[in-house]
Amino acid sequence: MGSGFTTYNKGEFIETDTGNKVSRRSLISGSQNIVLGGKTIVHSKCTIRGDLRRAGPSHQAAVLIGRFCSLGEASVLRPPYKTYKGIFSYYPLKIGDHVDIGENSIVEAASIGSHVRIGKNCIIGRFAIIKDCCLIEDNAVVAPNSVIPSFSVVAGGPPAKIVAQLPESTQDVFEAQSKDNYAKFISV
Amino acid sequence: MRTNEAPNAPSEADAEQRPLLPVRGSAVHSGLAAMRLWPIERLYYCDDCSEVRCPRCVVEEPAGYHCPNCLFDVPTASVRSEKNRCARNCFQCPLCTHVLSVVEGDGLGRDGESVGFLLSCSVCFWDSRAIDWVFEKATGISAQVERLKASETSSKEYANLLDYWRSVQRAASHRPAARLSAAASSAAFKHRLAGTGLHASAATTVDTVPPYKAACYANDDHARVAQQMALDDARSLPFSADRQNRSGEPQRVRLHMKLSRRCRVCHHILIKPESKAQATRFKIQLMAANFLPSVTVPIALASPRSRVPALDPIPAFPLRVGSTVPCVIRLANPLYTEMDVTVAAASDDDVTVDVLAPQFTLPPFAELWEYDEEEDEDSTAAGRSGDSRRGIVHRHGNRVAIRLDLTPHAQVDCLTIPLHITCSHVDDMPDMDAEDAASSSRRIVTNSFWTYISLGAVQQSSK
Repeated sequence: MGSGFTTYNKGEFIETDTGNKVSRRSLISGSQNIVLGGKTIVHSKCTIRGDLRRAGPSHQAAVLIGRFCSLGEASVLRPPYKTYKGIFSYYPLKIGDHVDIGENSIVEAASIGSHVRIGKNCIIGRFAIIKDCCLIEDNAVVAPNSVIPSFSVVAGGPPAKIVAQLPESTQDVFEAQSKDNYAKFISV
Repeated sequence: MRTNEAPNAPSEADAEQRPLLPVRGSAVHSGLAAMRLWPIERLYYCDDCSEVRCPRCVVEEPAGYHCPNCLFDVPTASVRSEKNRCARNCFQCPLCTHVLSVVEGDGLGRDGESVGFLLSCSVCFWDSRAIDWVFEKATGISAQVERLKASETSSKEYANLLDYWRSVQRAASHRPAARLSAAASSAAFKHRLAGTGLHASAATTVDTVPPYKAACYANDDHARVAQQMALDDARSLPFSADRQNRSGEPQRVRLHMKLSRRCRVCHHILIKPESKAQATRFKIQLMAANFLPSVTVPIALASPRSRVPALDPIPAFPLRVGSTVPCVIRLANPLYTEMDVTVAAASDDDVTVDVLAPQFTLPPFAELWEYDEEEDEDSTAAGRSGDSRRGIVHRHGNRVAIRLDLTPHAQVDCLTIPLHITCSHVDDMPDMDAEDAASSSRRIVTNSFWTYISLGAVQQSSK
């Protein structure tokens, strides 16, 4: 079954030169430390904490997001933190291309690969590493420091467990869907 | 609402169960039939046989092992000696199965000496002091655990048992020829005996392997085992207990395997992954979605901004018994060549399906259309009206939307319409095997398959 068009009022989203669509009702802190790859949609009430970055004079971005991503309503993206050798610091949060994050999900991962779909109401724990082509089902709680290997379906928790494997065509399917979602997200 | 495609490949396993006619809509959801339906993303395509292959009509073989946690590629040769588990630092928590992390003990123990390193769970806060596992260094934990456990009687016994069964296996692999001749001679012997009227008393070959001798266990162990394994106790155990970790010790993480898949009929390779754990690419990937047209039920045909007059593609829900409703399906061509498509519907007791456009041509897929943001409006009004007379609702790029007329006859929970789709295209790939290159360079490949489209519940007519 195909998906329908989603329309919004022109004033509701800011469109950047690279095609990112950022809701005016999203909460973005420290925008100079956030990189959006292009054609990424940031929905309303989404929170991105770019202000939480490594202490000291570093030029590293706090949140890096690839192309054709979708950050769902009321989702929270927060760089992970830890105390290493007695020094408290935040570490960058990296997200690949074609990543779909569902409503109300909280992401504190160290890295999320490309072609990943995260369901609604998920919690991705601190320093979790999600590799390419993964599906995190709704309400899953991925424990801190977890590594989710490619082509896994993860559910339940805490800690969420691998419940199935995705087929070999996952990359093409997720890519086509994320491009379709972007193409069908239009202003009227 | 999803479309499923049933491979019509005659696989060995399914040959006798395969229906010649489409299963009835209601039967699709009953156990046996449902197991044979797969969404197109799950299907493979053997380009040697020109047939669709489902996950059950392929042969799987391992193409590399890796640890799912540390993503270390384990060489195939050492998988067995490492007992199919990660031989580095990856351990699972005995309580919550989360992967344990190695942490430094908090400086000083009770007696004032250094505590060393511990395995600790960040989810349930279990740590390895509970079972007195403390390590001198933070690397090679598996080897340190092996050393800790080497002195335990249970691991000695296990190693002994493994040695014993290896010797049995070795003996068995040498024996088949010997056993065959022994069986033949004993059969001949029996035959001779039958003539004399004597009975051949159970002349089975006696195993030449000596019985197992325990390494460490004492004689009264047998009594203890019998006591522990009384049937009543076993019955009270939950079945899932087998898979749980009852030892209370962390277990090493099980290795994962990458699979390559072959066609069961011709052994042509369909899937060949890159052997590295981190890579998600495939050296060979023959998926059905790259060869057959996809069939979808679109919600909207044209962008709300476009000036193309839109026909409501969704049938009027809920479907009602006896009333004819239009339904639009859209086919998309994944190939770079034109594809001729024939759609036929099988009507049954539940529904009558009328395909208004039984034959049409799908334009080739071109990457250029990927960047085409606006709907193409180059099709002339005359062309469009001709299309709509023939049941073609909409064309865009490599996609064609056609109209079906549905007349449900019975009240069912989920109306499923079977469609038989035949598609053919000219294959320009030169055939390596053929001697006459000129004739083989253009062959017509025809595929046909059944697809099942679920459209939801049918209600009683409102009249």
